[in-house]
Amino acid sequence: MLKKEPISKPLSDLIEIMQFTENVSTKIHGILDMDEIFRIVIDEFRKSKKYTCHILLLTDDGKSLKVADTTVSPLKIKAAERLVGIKLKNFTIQLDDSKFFKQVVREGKTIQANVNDVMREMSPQTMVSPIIQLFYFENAMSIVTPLELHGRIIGTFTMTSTTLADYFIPSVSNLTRHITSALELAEENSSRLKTERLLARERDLLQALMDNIPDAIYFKDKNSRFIRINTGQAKKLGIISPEEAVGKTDFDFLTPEHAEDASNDELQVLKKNQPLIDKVEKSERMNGQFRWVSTTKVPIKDQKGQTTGLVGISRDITERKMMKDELKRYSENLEELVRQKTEKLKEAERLAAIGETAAMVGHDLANPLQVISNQLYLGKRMLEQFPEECKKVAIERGVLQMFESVAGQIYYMNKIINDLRDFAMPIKYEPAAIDAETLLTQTLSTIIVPENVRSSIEIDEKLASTKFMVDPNILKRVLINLLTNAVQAMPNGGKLTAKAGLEDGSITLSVKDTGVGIPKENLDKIFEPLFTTKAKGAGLGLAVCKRLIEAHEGSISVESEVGKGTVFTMHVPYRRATSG
Amino acid sequence: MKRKAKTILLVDDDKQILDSLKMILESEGYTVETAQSGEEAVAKNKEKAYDAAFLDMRLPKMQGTDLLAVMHKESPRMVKIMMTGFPSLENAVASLKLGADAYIMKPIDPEKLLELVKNKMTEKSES
Repeated sequence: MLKKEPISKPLSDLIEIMQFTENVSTKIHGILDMDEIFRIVIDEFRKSKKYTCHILLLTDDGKSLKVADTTVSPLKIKAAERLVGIKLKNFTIQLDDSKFFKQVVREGKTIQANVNDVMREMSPQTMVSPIIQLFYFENAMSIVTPLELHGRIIGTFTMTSTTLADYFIPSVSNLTRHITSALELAEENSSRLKTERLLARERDLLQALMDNIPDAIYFKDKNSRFIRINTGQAKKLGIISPEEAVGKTDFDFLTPEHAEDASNDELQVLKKNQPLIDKVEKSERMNGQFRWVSTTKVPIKDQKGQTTGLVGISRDITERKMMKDELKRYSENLEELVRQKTEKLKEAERLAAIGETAAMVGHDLANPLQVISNQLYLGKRMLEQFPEECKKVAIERGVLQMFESVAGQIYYMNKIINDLRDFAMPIKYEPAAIDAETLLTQTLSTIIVPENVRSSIEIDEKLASTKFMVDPNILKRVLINLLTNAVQAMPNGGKLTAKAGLEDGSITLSVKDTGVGIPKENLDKIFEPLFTTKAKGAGLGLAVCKRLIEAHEGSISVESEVGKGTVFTMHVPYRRATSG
Repeated sequence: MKRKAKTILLVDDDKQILDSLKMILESEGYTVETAQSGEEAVAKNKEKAYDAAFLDMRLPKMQGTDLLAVMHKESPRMVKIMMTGFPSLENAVASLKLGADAYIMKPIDPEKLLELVKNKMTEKSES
């Protein structure tokens, strides 16, 4: 057992300073702010009334020290500032001009010196004595130790006391080490805080972007499940809150077709790391609503470069696309309209040219034909005046047949001229009341039907004994033309049927034969002027018919089968005659 | 009583028409004279009164309707028959208004033509 002896003065001082520094170390432990650490240290020193201290920090250039904090009272600082003419915050100690501080900072030594010697180094050269007088400590000692941060000297810690001795150095050093570790913690904390603040800021910016951009933005994991979506995407999916989508896929919201398509695209983005840029797609929800969107999807990678998911952004281009489509349709329509009009104009020009030619040819053929007629007449007269014998011989030799043949050809040429006239002349629609039976019977009676052709008239009950307003002359001319054609189509005989009926408010008139028929390739052309398959014919007959029927606000069509026969059908407006 | 032969003036720029028609009409006993232009026709009409005239619609320099107007003014009692190779409703109506007795389209059957001119002259003399 140790003998209890009174503790010596230096030992009690040591114990005291050890307790003091230990206490300061405890106080600053866990403080995460540099200035706060310094403030606590200074406060504790002031409270001790026994020890003083200064904390000096290196300037940025590392050439001088500056007072960061001190236990010197503000009053004394003010006095010193007034004395020296420099504010404390502007005051620097040049390391090159100092002895102690230089050793501490540059060599990392802890030195022990008389306080006044230290003060000397801390004063401007011209002001050394007044400063020492101001801060004078009798027999006080200072210990100056380097202040480190992450193994780098950032300044000095100076502790002064009348009780200070060299064996206190470890305690002071220990305190500075605690200060250092506190500072290091604080710095780490501040950089962490800084990072957190930055992250928070980025998060806020992203959130602001996601909440305010009208485009749909979404993040998906490797399995195309939504991780996070913005309000735009929520709207597109048809849900109110973006959170509802988390963990779900497109298949939960969109039609299987569109979801499948999107899923395939995402597989490409995720597996092949290929971004999808501006793909125009129809995004269709299960309720049938759809929008046109332009979609961009890019892979998201972690720090190792592994794809962890994707981010997509879709812009609604429905209006734009609809306008574009509308414009396209409009321009296509316009083109079609122009094409049709041009065709009509061309056709009109062609018809006008044919009309002019027809007029010219008609006129020019009229005179020669008249002369031939006249000569034929004179020839017949001459034959009559021949002596009986001569006449007999001439007749025996067939002169009458010759005359008849010429007359037939004149008749035929005259018909061509009449067709040309019909074609070239303006048609005037002059309606009159007539019934179907009268119309067909009168017309059929004007043409010569050969014996081997059986002709018949069929009238629909709905039209029987009903009078209607048509232009009988126009219809007769067309019917004569069609009936004549029909007879010509049956050189070996057959059946000729003229029919009248009522269909959808139109009178239908048809002429049917059981003749040779018209080949398919010719059916489209038969109503065109100058188209003919006959050895004799200008090809105007059916063109005239079409013109006449169109002037009658009607239409004409044809059906035919080679070897079986042909049927021409006309539709003209049905207007019941008011009287009778 | 032997009647004096009726006189007819034929106006057409086509000589073949004139010649053949002249022969046809003469074979029926008419006295026929011809003119190949409107001017010639007007001149001939001033020298002599004809019972009938056939006027072609299209003549060099002068329109058939213009000639008709002149002839009708000079000889209102003469039968005037218009002939045309290319008929139009306007011309037909205009001709009848200007005093034409008939309007015929070429080619016309000579027998019908003879019948027509005979009838028209009878109508005129009876009126």
